[in-house]
Amino acid sequence: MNNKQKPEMPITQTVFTLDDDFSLINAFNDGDQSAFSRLVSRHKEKVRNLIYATLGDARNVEDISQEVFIIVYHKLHTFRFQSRFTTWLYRITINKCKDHLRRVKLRSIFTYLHSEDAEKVTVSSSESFDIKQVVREAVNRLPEKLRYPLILRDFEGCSYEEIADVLETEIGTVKSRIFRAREFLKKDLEPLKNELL
Amino acid sequence: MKITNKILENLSAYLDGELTPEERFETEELLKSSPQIQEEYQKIKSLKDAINNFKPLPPDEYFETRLAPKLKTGYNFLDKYRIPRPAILFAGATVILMILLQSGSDFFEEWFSQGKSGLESFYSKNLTSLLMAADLTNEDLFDFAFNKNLPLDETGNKVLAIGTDETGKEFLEVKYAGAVQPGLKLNDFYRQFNLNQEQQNKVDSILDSYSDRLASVVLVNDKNTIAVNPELWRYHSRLRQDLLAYASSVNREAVVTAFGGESEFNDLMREPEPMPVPVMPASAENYYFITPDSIFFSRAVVDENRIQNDIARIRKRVKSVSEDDRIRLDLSPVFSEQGELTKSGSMRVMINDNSIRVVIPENISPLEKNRDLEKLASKLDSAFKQLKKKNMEFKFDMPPVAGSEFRVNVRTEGRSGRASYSYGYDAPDMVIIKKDSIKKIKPLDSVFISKQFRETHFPDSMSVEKLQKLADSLSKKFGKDSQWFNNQPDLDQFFRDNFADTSRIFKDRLREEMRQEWLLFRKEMNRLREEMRRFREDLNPQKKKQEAEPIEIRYNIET
Repeated sequence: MNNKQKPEMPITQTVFTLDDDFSLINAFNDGDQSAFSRLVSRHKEKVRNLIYATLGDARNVEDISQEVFIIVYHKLHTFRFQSRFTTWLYRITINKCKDHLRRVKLRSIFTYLHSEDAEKVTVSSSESFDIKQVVREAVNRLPEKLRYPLILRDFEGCSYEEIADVLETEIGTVKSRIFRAREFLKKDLEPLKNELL
Repeated sequence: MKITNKILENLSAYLDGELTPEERFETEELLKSSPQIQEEYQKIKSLKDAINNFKPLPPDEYFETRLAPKLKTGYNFLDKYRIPRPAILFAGATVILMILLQSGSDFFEEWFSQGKSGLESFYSKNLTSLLMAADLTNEDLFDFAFNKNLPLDETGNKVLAIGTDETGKEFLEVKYAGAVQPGLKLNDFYRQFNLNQEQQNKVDSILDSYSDRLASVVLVNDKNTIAVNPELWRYHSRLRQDLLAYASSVNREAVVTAFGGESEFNDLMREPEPMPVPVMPASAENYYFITPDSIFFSRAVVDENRIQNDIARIRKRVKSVSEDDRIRLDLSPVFSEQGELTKSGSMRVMINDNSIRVVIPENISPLEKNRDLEKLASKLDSAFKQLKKKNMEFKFDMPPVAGSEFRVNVRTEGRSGRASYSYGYDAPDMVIIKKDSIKKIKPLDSVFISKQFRETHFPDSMSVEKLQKLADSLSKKFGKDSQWFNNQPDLDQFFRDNFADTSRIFKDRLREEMRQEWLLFRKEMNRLREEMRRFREDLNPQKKKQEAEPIEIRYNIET
């Protein structure tokens, strides 16, 4: 039984202003190409960083984020205004990340993991020991099912309801997965608890 | 107060502001009353803060600039719904089409075919026989016959395996060689059935004949594509049968013994239908394609003549170069034509860090289900497991002089590879036996163990039964060599002082001690086995098992 509350957009919220996402989408659908540029400018960094947080390295962020906006460009007319634009955008982004990770997994059968690791490019820190980087790596070690809701919550600030919508699951499941992800991280980062506190 | 998962889960949601008013009230009360819960709360909060503070990527100022040109080309098939097409463009396209149609239909056929099977054509380019690409030897083919593995490259890092899963469905698997259990080797086969040189040559010729037939069944290319014809399963069964039939014709007794007795062997040999030799060529023009990006099933007609010519050419060149020289292969694509099937459905694919397993869907499996053949295959499997167990040797080197180190050497040359172990035993401890310490003969926990592995494989076939045999032999040897103990001055004195019939008591007591030691020895061996398993895992980090995730891959090939 799906107990997820589908967000019904009240009529009062459909009064658009020039700057909000809905008005930009409407403008684009009416033929204003510049509205799409403004939509990209508003969300590109969120999308790039969501991909970065999800994949754990910066190598494929550019390609995937561009692919995300290409899909948005071609499918924006199908957007139904029943949820926030960001929910829809994040769903596309997460699905692209999933596709990418699946391909990487398939490819890893044919290449040595070591060489893959050696090429990994991350945003480096000038410090030799960067607690943030350690936490980021621990997040990357989370199983995908736990990683996505945690990143959407703690990195993107989405509500449980939005996360449930993005991941097409139930709110109870989101709550449980975020809890399990934090328990996983607590155990994983146990040796660093003093540095974290 | 016991902190339950429910409390922790609510703490986590409380921090996110996602609790109902009632839950929030309960959680706040708990926080006020319990320092432990406060501590847990702080831990979660610290983690949340750390993730919140992830360093973002530097902003990309030129993102839109790079995106703009891609927007027009990224999703052409959708553009038609968005961008109105002026009639003039349509008219222009029609004119161009007419001109091209007049110039010849080949262009369109090619273009249309490429459009339909872009992926297939890309990955099927330059496919050539695995036999040549991986430089397969007769040992490899033997390994395939009995262990169902074929190396996929010259270095043998990856193997192609076939098998049947727990639900009885055939599967194909590409995996790292490190994840493969070593099996019966060709030399073991020769030795097991005492085949002389001439007979070994005959086995080689059987393997040679199959190598020709296998040439068009497994194909690979530089894009890491592996194309497998379903005939592979048939060849596997028949090759194994032929080898077995030949072995039984030259040394029936040994084969019968290996298969656990006359009745079992007769049953095994009576069961199969007569298999035509030579084996049918790869007639089914269907291949399973495993590529780095996708897995699909497609019809492809292999140019058999091309492959056979290549083989002949390679063999000619092999004869003209020395063994150490490498031959550079220069082979042309082997597909003479490529077509489509009218099947659709989904394939179940299991992927973990070590392997990718494709379960062959029944509706595209052209394998004829032959119950007798399947029954035979399962019997052969169990029989060869027996063979694997029997093919072990133990040697014991008894100590030649008193007071020196006493060593037990165990050598195994079995299906699981060769391994040699040497157990050092501190002999002086044996000769200073005192009346009250006779039960304290230094047990195996004091034994230092040196291990030499000619190969890194630990014999997984070191069964309890075999170890028992080892212990019994050890015990017998001690019985025979008890004279050695009697020659020891300390022991002589000990026996003279304490016992009338020293030799009998000595033997009885010693046997008892040996039994005790055997139990310790067995325990130690189990510990060692576990240790070696971990050691192997450390050497091959990819081998750490992860639960395979099933992926459903749709295939839909239209006519």
